[in-house]
Amino acid sequence: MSRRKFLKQSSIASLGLLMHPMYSSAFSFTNTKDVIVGHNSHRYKVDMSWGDLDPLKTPVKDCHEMVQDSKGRIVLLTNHIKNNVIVYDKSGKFIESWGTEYPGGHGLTLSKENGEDFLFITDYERHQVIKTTIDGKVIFEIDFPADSGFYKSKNEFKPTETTVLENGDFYVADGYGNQFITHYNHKGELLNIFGGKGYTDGQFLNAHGICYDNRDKNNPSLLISAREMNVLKRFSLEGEYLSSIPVPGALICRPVIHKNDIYFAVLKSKNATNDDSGFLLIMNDKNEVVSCPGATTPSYNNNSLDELYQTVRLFKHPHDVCIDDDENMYVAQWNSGQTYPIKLIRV
Amino acid sequence: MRLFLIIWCWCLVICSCNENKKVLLQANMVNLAQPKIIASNAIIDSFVTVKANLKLDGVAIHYTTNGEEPKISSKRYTEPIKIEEACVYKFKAFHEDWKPSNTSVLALYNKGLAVDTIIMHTTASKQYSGLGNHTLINHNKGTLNFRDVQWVGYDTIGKSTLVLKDRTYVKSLTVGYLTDVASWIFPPSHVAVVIDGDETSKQIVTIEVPETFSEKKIDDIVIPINRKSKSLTIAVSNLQEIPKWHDGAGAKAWLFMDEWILNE
Repeated sequence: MSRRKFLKQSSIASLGLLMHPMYSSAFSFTNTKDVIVGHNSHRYKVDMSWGDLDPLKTPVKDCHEMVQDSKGRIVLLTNHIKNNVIVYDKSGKFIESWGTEYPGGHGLTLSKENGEDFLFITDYERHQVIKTTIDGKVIFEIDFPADSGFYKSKNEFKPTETTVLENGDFYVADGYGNQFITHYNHKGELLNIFGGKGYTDGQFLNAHGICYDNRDKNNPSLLISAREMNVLKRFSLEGEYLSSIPVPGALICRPVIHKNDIYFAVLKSKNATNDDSGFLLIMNDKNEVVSCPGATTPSYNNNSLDELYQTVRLFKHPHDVCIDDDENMYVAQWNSGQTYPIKLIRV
Repeated sequence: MRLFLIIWCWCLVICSCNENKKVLLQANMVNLAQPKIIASNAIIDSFVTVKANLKLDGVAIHYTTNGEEPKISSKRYTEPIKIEEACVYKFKAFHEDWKPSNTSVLALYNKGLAVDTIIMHTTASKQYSGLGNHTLINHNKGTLNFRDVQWVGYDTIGKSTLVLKDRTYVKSLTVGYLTDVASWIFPPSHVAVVIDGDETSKQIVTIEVPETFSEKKIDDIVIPINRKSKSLTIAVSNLQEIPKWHDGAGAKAWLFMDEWILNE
């Protein structure tokens, strides 16, 4: 289906929704006046108190990333060294916590290997990537790629994200450092390095997130966010630049693929007067933006996306999203006053 | 007993409903974002056009020009406004389901006297040197984005002399600046003006240091001159110590200026 046709259909669909009294606007309310945020196919109610814990016992600093493990539990990574990892059930009940050695705990990726769950943690203060078991036992640590010739010292390596392939190969995005993408085999041996800081197609300003995109089984690729550039870039698994998907106005964090859609936390709106101007963004299987909870209704003009920006001050600095098996979404926030994650319930 | 049970069950249902209500976000708990204001220029030559927008269904933007905070009873914005006279516009967004936004303020200026020459005594930061020496007097004002090339950024004192073609009566001087504390850009600490090189004419005006975190805004200070002048030497000092409440406490603040206007 062409994009134009899709938009036409979706606008007809939203017209249908408009006719319905319960959905008189993108931000509408049920009879109990629960706020509904988002657009088109992806609309949510908001649970602000999900996962709230006693900050004296289980504190958080920045809530950086979240994943759902094979048992259905929600795993949160924070840079608070009293408990870097907090594990919840889907209702927000505390199950357990661990980790005291990740002062720059930032990226959290789940890897399923022969039925067992593992975690890849990036720590920009330790300048390392750490692979652990699901309960925190360290498997290996990866230091800065000294032999690549692109790094003078470990301080230039501030990794923000990882992604893992089916064969155990993994990639690291150095979003706060020299902006290279490093490719390792399952043992942690360096295979390739590409990207780097710059303005060309194959380079990045703030390569903040990376994600393995195997929605098209015949053409798997990598999606990498260039957050400062408001662009999502696609690369081959060999590190060759393929294409760009601009998201004007949106400082996108990592891409999170769930079923056929891509979900993003957007840290800030580029041109907002307030700094805490984040929102969420959802792309469909054709990489078209279909919903922006907390922001403008996505619209295209001559095939280019209109600038997106925060319209309601619901989120502060969203940093990651996690979509569970019920299609609900959890939002971890950076610099939000030590708040716990927010849960969005799909309607 | 049965009646008691029924009542008890009913109470349970009510309680659980209430609890549910408390958890989910309700209407009028969260503010709207500020409306976006776009002016064709903030300095009026013949006229400027101003647009206000907040792309959200059901939103209404209201505005004032008398300095008061916009209310829902204030004039409603419906189409771009054509403005011919210097004025301060205040815009605010309203929605039945969200709390009103903060106020967006837009100051529009008359372009003032034409400056013949500008002599820079200190140099702007290399990274934020605007469009060169004339940026401060080119009748184009910077927007809220500090990367806008209309801004001239200093991490020290910004000192220049404005020379008029002929000796002319100058009523006042307007110095425009940006406040963006999240980016370490603060209002200047003070402005000193010397007319025609005459040190006895020196005026120093001090600007208050912000006491808390604030949103980005464009501000100005007006210094009365009220005399015939040929040249004005203007020195604008950046804040030497960022206040304690800020992440950058103790460090030097950035100073971003645009524009310098000599009012007739």
